[in-house]
Amino acid sequence: MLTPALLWTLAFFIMPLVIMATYSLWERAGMTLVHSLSLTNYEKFFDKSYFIGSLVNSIEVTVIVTVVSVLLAYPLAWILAERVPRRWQRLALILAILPFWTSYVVRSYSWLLVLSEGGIISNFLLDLGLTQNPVSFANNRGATVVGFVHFFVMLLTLTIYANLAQLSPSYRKAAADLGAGPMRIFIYVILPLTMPGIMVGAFLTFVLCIGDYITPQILGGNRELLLPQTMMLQISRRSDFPMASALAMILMAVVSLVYIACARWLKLDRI
Amino acid sequence: MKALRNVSAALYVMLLYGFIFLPVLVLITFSFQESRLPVPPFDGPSFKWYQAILHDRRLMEALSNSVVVALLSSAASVVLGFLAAFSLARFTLPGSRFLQGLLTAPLTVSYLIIAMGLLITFNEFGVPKSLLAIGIGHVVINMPLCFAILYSQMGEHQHNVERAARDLGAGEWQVIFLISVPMLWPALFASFFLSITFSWDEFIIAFMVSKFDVTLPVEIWSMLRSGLNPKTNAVGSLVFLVSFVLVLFLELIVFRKSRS
Amino acid sequence: MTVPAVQFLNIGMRFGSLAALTNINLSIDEGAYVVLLGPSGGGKTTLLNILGGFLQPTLGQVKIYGNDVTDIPAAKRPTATVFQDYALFPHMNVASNVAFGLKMRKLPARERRERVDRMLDMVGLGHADDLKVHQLSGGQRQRIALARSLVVKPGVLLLDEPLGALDMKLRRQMQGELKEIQARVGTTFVHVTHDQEEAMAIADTIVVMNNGSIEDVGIPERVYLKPGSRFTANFMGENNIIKGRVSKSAGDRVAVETGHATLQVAGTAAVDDRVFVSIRPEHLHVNPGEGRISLAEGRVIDSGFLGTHRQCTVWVESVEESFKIRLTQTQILAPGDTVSLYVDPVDAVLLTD
Repeated sequence: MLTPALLWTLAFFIMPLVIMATYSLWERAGMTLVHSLSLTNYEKFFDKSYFIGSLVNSIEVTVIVTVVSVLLAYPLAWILAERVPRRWQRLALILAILPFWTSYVVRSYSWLLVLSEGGIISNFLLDLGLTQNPVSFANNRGATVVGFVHFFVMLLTLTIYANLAQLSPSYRKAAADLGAGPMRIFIYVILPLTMPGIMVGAFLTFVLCIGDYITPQILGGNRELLLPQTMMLQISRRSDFPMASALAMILMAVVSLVYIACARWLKLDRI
Repeated sequence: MKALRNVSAALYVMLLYGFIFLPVLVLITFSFQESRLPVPPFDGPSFKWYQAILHDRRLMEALSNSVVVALLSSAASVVLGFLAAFSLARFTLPGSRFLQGLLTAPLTVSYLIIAMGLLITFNEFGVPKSLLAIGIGHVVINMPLCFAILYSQMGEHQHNVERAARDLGAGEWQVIFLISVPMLWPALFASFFLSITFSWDEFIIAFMVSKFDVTLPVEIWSMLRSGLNPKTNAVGSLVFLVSFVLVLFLELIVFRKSRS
Repeated sequence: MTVPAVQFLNIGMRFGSLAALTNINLSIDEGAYVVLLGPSGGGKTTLLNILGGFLQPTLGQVKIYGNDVTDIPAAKRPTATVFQDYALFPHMNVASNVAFGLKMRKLPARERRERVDRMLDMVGLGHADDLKVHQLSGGQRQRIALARSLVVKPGVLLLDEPLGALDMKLRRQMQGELKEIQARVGTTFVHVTHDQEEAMAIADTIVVMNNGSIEDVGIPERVYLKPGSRFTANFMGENNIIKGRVSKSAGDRVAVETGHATLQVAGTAAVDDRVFVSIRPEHLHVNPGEGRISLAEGRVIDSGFLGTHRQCTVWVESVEESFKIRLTQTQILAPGDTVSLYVDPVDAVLLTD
């Protein structure tokens, strides 16, 4: 009974990973592959600023997105959990998720409508007389960040809210009873106890963001590429499966490192 | 002091919700644009772009492809996930922990990497790019989810009821179909629904392993090549509307029933 | 005349249209162990929360050592609370938990350390300071919660059903320990519970509460043996309530005609008043004796051995009522046996409500 699921996982998940790992050690030569094992692809990665640059870009963007999203999401989660009457909380959450019920591709596209030359913001500035010509805010790193933050603020609001909502009100009462004012209750009790929610959300944000091809491709322009875009180029433009595989392995390594760091951090602070 | 806090809280919430809703509102508004560019000024309302989608054969095909792939791959995911969860929960197998980890491992890997892996593997073994390939990929990403949800629901209570059934003479498959499946109905439904949601909107796997027959997100992607276009707005708005109606339907009819 | 530790003056509490507390007037002496006793929803926890500063009363005043604290928030009141679920901070170890209140009062680290160590020793957990909360048993958590509240030397210590989560044996043990600790530190304790045996075991004064009002206040012996109201009589333990009519009234004694016998009981009432008489099961006897009068004849319908005594239910046909009685371990009566009931009127309590 277990076997179909196991076989599927082995055939279509494990095997492809193994094949990719193998490919990463081969080289493309014209239309064929050189089947001798070598680390050339990895060397190329560290040599060419083009490659390693895209990883650096990805990490920079992902870190910025994660930090900004956490900072924006926490107050919102707090207000929803603490200030909004219980009856309306569910509705407020559903409302926050609602705009993401359209296709992820279309969602990123809609930021073009806002940020492009002639888009909403451009028009707004023109109408206010703050500028003479249409301005574009798209096709750069900023637009990519905005597009990502838009999505991940929602995700983090949910994880942090979930954490806040299940905190026993007794902790707050006990801290107050022992003399802590609202600020100190937050610093010494609430914040530490919501760290799991923040960490889980931040980790999800990091992993989903760094592996996303859609948003940077739509909003990022051509000047600065992120790792997923570089990976796709190896496949679509150059049919260089080995190089793409090597990049995939590197991406997996980065994500694994972050996972280990988060897991260790969460264990240290075990509740 | 309290009033100032409440006002700033309200302001913050409004700003953030405004930020969250801005692109979608723009999307929907300009899907009714009369002229060619979905940017201000608004000169609608016009339904011509919606008519254009409905008459776009490729788009409609992609839509039905998405539905088929979503339904079939989700069904497969739920069935495989259920069988796996059932056997791991009911029978003590060696290396149970390891098997659990193995089955849920795909949840930890980026879709992009799974997509690339499948592309290279299919290429290596001569499997053609097709809807079937997309379906296979979607089972890879959804089955772990179904497994995790169903496994978590197969607790002691469930086990005892099954034992009672066996005690009364039910055979293995009877236990499964007459007891386990009905009792797990909410979890089965939830995993099926979640799988459909993920499959329906999934882009990168579909993009990489399909060629001529594509799913809706891939078709929309190619529409993006024509830049800002109200037709794209219309497709996006339609998808949004369908999702909204579906969730409303579920909320009112399915969940109301279970609550009463 | 020393200032009472706590005074509740005309306290009223409404939640919307629900009146949780009505006209509460209560005074608690310094150093006393007071138990607020009553069923769930009776208002005792509400009153405790008002004392602790977690709730603002709709009406009335709260004074602690003569100071009006009604408008003062919990953080600034001289009270400390032991919560029902202990509310120990899961992300801090035992020492940090206990030190929290001292840290909020900005005590220097060394002094904090000393006081925490001494307090942990007092509750018998001197070795536990590095442990995390999840490593402690239920009883240990209870003591840490107590330590955390006591270490700040509060004027009044509040305990909200502190022993509810413990099993019977541990509960009994902790009751003794709480009493002992209270005697040692001398702090005024206000303890909320729904367990009347617990109340009698530890309280100096019991305050019986029901439906937002105070039913009775007194020492355990008095509240049990001479309850002031029907509710108190029923709540404090097994009880037989007999209906009757006052036939004679003179000074502080009345004669009550029940369906069985006329009882001379202490109390005041007017002639022809409809009253109740409460008799505890252990005060109904099956043999005549000094001072006893015959009460009724009946038939045993139920008999159970409860370890320390035997309890029987006797059905009295003439008034169509059943009586609960207690027998010694060796007295044996079986269902179907006829039995005569005797009572010493001195044990009967007049209830006029």
